[in-house]
Amino acid sequence: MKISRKLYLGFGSLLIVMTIFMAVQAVLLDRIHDDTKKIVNDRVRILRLLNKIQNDLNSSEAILTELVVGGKYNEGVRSELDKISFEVATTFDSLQRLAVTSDVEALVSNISEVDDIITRSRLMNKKYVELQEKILEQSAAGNNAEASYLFFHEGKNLRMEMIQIMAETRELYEKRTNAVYSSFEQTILKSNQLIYVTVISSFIIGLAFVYWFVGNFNKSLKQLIGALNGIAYGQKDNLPRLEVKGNNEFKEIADAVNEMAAAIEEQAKTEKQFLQTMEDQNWLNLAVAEISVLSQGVQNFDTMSSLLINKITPMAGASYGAFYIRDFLGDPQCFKKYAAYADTAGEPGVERIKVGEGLIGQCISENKTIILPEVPENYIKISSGLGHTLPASIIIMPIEFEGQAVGAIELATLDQFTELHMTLLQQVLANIGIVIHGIKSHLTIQGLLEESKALTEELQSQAEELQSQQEELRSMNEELQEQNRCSEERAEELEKIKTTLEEKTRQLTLTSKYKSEFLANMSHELRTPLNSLLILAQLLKENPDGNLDDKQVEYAGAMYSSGNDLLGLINTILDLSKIESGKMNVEMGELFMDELETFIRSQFSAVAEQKGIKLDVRLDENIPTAIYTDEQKLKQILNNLLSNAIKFTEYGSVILDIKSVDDQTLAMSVIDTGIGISRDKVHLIFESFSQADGTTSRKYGGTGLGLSISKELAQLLGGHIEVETAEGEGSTFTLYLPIGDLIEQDFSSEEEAACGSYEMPSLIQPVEAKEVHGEIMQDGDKELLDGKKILIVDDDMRNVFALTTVLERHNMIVLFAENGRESIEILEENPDIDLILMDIMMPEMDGYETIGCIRQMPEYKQLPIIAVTAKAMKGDRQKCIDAGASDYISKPINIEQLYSLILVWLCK
Amino acid sequence: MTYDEDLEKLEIELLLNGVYRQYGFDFRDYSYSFLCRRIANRMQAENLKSISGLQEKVLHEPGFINRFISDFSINVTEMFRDPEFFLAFRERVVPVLREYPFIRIWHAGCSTGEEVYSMAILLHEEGLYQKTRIYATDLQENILEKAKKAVFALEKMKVYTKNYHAAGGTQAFSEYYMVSNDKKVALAPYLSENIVFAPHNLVTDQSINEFHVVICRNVLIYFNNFLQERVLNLFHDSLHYGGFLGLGAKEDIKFTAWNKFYDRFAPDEKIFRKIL
Repeated sequence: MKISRKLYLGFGSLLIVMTIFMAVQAVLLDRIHDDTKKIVNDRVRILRLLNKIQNDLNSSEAILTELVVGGKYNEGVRSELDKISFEVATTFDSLQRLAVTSDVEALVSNISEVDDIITRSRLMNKKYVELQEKILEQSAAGNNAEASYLFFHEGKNLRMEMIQIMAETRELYEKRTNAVYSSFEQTILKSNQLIYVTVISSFIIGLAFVYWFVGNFNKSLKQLIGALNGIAYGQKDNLPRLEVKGNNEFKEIADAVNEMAAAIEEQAKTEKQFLQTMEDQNWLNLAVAEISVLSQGVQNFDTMSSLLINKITPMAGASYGAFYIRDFLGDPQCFKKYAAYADTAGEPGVERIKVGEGLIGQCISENKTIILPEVPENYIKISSGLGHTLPASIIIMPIEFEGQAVGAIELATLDQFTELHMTLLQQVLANIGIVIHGIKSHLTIQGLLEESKALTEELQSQAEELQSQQEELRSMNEELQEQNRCSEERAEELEKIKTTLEEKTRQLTLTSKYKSEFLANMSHELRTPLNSLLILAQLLKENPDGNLDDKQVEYAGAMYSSGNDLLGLINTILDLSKIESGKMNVEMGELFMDELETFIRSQFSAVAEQKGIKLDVRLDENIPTAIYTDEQKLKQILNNLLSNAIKFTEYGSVILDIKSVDDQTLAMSVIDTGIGISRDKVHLIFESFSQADGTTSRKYGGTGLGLSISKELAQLLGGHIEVETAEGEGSTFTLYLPIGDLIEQDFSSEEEAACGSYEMPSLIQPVEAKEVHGEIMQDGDKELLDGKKILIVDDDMRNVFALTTVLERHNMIVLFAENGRESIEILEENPDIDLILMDIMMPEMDGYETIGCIRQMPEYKQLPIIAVTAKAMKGDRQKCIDAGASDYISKPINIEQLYSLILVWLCK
Repeated sequence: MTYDEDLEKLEIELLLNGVYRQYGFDFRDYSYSFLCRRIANRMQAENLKSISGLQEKVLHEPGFINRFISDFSINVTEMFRDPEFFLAFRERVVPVLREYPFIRIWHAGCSTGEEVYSMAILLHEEGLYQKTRIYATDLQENILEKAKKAVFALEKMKVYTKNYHAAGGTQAFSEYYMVSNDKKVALAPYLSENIVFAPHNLVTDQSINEFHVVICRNVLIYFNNFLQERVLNLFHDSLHYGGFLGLGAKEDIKFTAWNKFYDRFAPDEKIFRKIL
């Protein structure tokens, strides 16, 4: 029987027994309760009725008494007594009815006793009412004595009897009630007894059931535990089975446990298999990983193949192995043996295999693994030091990449290849395919890179060659252009010269006569006697013998000096050509006017005196004490003019008058009272080799060269000569000479430019580049600067002035602006500006900003702008360049550096 | 290769062998395509039909060899050429050089000297020039003569000035030159003070000293691989441990056997440092 059923049965029966007992008891108790309630009610009602009768009797007695005693009869008393009598009769009726119907009476079987007593009471009452009537009649008749007698004798007995019977009735009822109560007690006792029985019997039944049940349960449980304890911890196979008899829950448990044991055994078996697979897989993965790692970073086939074959062969349990890779570098139809395992010299493995050739070739061409489980005799032998043997099995596997065989591997084993080995090989080879491809790509890329490097180099070398050729061509081109330009210039010059020549042919023919004459005179033969004359005159002047008087010595001196003059004249004439070609040296220096006067007087007074004419030197008061000029040249001019004047003056005077024309110019006039020059000849006198009259030479002598030289020299000194004359009235030659400390004329000859020493304002550094300064004025460079428009932007006028002076010296056109804004305006008005010198530190709009603004204008993107910076930090210069300046120069400006810079940036 | 090309190759080989045996100039390992182009150029200029004709002129006509040699020397250069090289040199190499008591620099293939003087200016500005000696060598003596003069064309100065600025110049570039006559500029004479110009043939000559810096820019591009390796070997022998090798913008030691001996110190500017 199942445990549940047992439990239901046991506890169910117990419950049923208890319920029955309890129900019976409840019914009993209920009945007792009802009866008690009824009896109590009856009793109360009966007693109340009895009391009422008593009371009515008492009140009728009282009325009678009063009547009897008082003797006043009236009808009212009568009716009142009747009423009471009626009441009593009714009450008796109720009492009797109650007694008959009462439950107690039903319980107490003999009703007759009650009925009897009530009947008796009624009889008594009837007698009393009759008496009462008699009394009333007597009273009404006025017979009080009778009435009172009746009342006190007869009535008293009757009343006594009636009270007696009342008490008897009450007693009877009490007696009967008590009888009922005792019957109740009986019932309650029975009920109590029943409760005891119930409790005891329930207890016994329950105890018996529990005992039986627990014993039964324990037995089965112990059996089960025992069986389960028999299973060792961790045991997974050969588990014991449980055997439980009967057909209860324990049997079910046992069955379940048995099933579980079976499942565990099954699971253990699967697990074991799984573990084995896992282990194999792990080994496989490890091997594959190891081989993958091995081939990492290898960049050539040799290393890779030898590394791999040395690893794979033992892993696959093989004893011999060869590694073939497609010969990518050579013939891609061939496979080359790159490495072997246990290779014996020359024996196993062919060095090169063509696709389709032999088993390997077959394997490659089909892209399929070939296994030879049986190796024929005379196949390769696996050898060791002790001997050699045939392999048991051979495997040839292709190495693929994207479906194409890139290599193959051949392995030989003494055993058979297992499934695992095969899997290993398959996986490894798949990876190797990728590696081989990688190395191949690497080699290709390396090759390409090298090629590209070579190409780059080649390109660079070609570019350089081209550049150098271009350079050559350019220089050749320039040369040609230069030559072209030169020849054009020359042609032009020739043209000019030609016209000049033609123009001058007339004059030339006129003057050539004098020239040839003169040149004849100036021959070597002329100079030789002059030299001996000079030597002799000097000897005489020294008067070594002391036989000459003073006058004679003076004459000798005059001879010597005149001779010297003559020699000087000759030299001057030779210099004339130099002057004309602009190659005469001018040596500027200070000349004191009083010195000049002394010189003139000492030079000419003797001659004038000799000729008997008056020589006067007048110095104006306003003239400076000294002027800045070439003393030698000036003296030469004056010499010429004065000697001419003296020469052509027969009588009268020759006056040298020196006075200032203005601050800059001095006028030196030589005024004579000589023969003068006719108006039409005046233009001739300054021509070389000519005198006013061809015949004059015969009379006055002279070469006719003096005035032309003087004219040239005067120009050289920055002055000129004017003449005022009339025939026969004397003439006035006036030399206008600049006083100037600074010679402002534009010197066309290089020496002149070099000789000027400038006063440098503070901006400009003094240059000790005398020779270089000369050099920069070479024709080519001069052209570069000539007429170029330079804009100077500087707020300091002294700087502007200094720079302007320096730049204008080279014919540059200088514009200036005081600030950045102005510079932009000027630039807009003069778009042909070639270069800007930009001071950086300016108020309002500084140099950086200005440069920035200028560079914003597209047309001035390339305009050279040279920033003038204070000698400061490198940062400032970088700022200039960043702002867009082409270059920079630091203050104080070195003139040479400035010229160089301007040349560099003006150079096209 | 067609018959003509074969023949051309043979003739060039013979010509160069001849030049080498007769004059000692070895152009045999110059880049072949370069040789072809130069020889073709010369032939065109001389109006020659065959290389053999050129050979005859080279061997028999006095003075012709100089023209022939100058064909193989491409003198393309400028001051502060590839300014980033000089900038990198100034910013990264100079701090290292500062530590040495004396600095020797070899400028191989200096051509007309522009880059040598650039280096002198750079070192001058860095205050290192006084303790530096620059050995500037080239194959051609007439080119060296030109380099010694330190006179350059006026019209190029604009480009040089720009290069100077880009190369991180700290002064005004105009401080270093003065315009001399005939559209030329002369560099300040003190820049030549510590430069030694000497002829040196990278192909045949040996190392001349041990240097802290070897600069050889745009020379290797004219050589074939074999000769490049040889010249790099020469530089390696000539470099102090930790010394610097400066190459042209398109040259590299990658793919040569010498790669592993150098740290790629400033690879974009082609400055390498010897580490082995």
